[in-house]
Amino acid sequence: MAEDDIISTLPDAILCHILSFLQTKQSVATRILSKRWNPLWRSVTTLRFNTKVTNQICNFDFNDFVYSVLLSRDATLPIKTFHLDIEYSEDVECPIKSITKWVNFVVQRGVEYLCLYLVSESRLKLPITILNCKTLVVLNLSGFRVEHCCFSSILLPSLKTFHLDYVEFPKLQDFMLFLTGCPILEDLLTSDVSFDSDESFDCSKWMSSLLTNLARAHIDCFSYYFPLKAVHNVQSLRFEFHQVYYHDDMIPTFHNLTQLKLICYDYSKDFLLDVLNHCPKLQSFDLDEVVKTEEALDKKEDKENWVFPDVVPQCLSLHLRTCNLLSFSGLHGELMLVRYILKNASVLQTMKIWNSGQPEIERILSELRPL
Amino acid sequence: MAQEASSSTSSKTISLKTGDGEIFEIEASAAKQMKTVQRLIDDLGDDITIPLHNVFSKELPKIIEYYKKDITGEITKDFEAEFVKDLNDDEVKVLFLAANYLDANKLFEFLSQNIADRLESKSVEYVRKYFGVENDFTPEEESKLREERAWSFRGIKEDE
Repeated sequence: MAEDDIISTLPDAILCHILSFLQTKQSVATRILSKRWNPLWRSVTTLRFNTKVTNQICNFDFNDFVYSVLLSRDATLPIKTFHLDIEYSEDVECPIKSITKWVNFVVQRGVEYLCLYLVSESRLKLPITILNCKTLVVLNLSGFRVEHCCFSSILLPSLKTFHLDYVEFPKLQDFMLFLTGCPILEDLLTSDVSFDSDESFDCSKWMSSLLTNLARAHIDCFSYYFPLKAVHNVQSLRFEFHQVYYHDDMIPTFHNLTQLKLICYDYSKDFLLDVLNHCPKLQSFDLDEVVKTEEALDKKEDKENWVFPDVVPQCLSLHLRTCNLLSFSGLHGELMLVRYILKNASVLQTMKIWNSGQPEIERILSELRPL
Repeated sequence: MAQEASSSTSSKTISLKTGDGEIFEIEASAAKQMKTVQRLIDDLGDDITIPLHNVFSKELPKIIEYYKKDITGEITKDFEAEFVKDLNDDEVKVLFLAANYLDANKLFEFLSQNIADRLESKSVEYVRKYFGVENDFTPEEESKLREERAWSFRGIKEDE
């Protein structure tokens, strides 16, 4: 067939490009396709290892495989992407030294996309060579403990995307210091980031210059306390939160925030007002509530008797254009909230209310208020 | 990004002629995303029907469909999933070769990923057929390669 002729004339670079999307064990397997294909996998600059290690033999085999790949590939080429996704069963010892060596190896070879997802009984300490990797653009971590953070020890000048899932820091300060080493960060995602100690410390001197390029943040802290002030420069925020962690001075002023999606387990009127008061430029606001199974045990806000103040947050008067209220149940407090927004949001164009479990109620308004 | 209406090039359409003689229209801004087409436009002018010898009427409409969505910024994961859902492995290969010929980067990247996904746990023989590869190893050479301890073939289907 004509296509087969064309495909076999494709240059090696394109074949390598396809190989780069495969798991490395797959791409290595292509060495037996033909003599031409035999060396191609060595030129692939993306390495992907994904496995579940259930016993010691599996552990040895897998480690052997990774080392063999790292040693046999074309040493003149960098490693641009390194993706490690391993689950260690309970009775299998996570090979900390080997994993650290692999990470150090790829860091030294110019890695740009580094994804390390580990599931094991104990969390691995993050290899410190990552903290000074000049080439790193994307860092995704899951299942690590980050230590050794101090001023000037962390510098990630190219890092644009940072995703943390189930990562622990000894102190709140360590996490904040890590972020100071990411001057051009645009995208931050945190989920289940925890701290052994959350004692506060004075960071006022460098706060204003923290994460000044942050465009998007997705903070999932249903189960943990999170220092919101770390992301106070962000433009678009998705914040998943449990009311029980709310305290008075936790919300910083978000000077650049235009888009906010708030997903709460329970929320009080005071919390909402606090949020709105700290987002002076907010244009788009989504509010959603999740129901958790422990609901019966916790005391929820009854959302009755909500009285809203006469003083109106700046974002309502001047900026809010879109508002979406999801999981609306028609409780008195919710209706008061809707009325408060409709009454005071001078430039509001769209308000949508979603009623869960029933056909959605959608109301679109155009407010034309003379000044 | 597509420019807004005032510039005459953004609403202009370019005519493309496939290798089997059919003619399709495409917006100039979409044509820009295909570097080969853009080079031909630069050389031949945008009033002439651009000949694409290696792309045929079966695949060009699909490519045009993709870039129509791209210039309005509507390409989502759902759209991409839907785009390849009903294509078999060979149809994807043909689109991929066309995207390569047209130097249409975004589509090329997406289809590379899709091909890799499709080949993920296929057998060696299937992959050979797919890429039209002649096995020029002797049976002895091949079995030696397969046996090498360091490269275990766990997870890859054996053929026989």
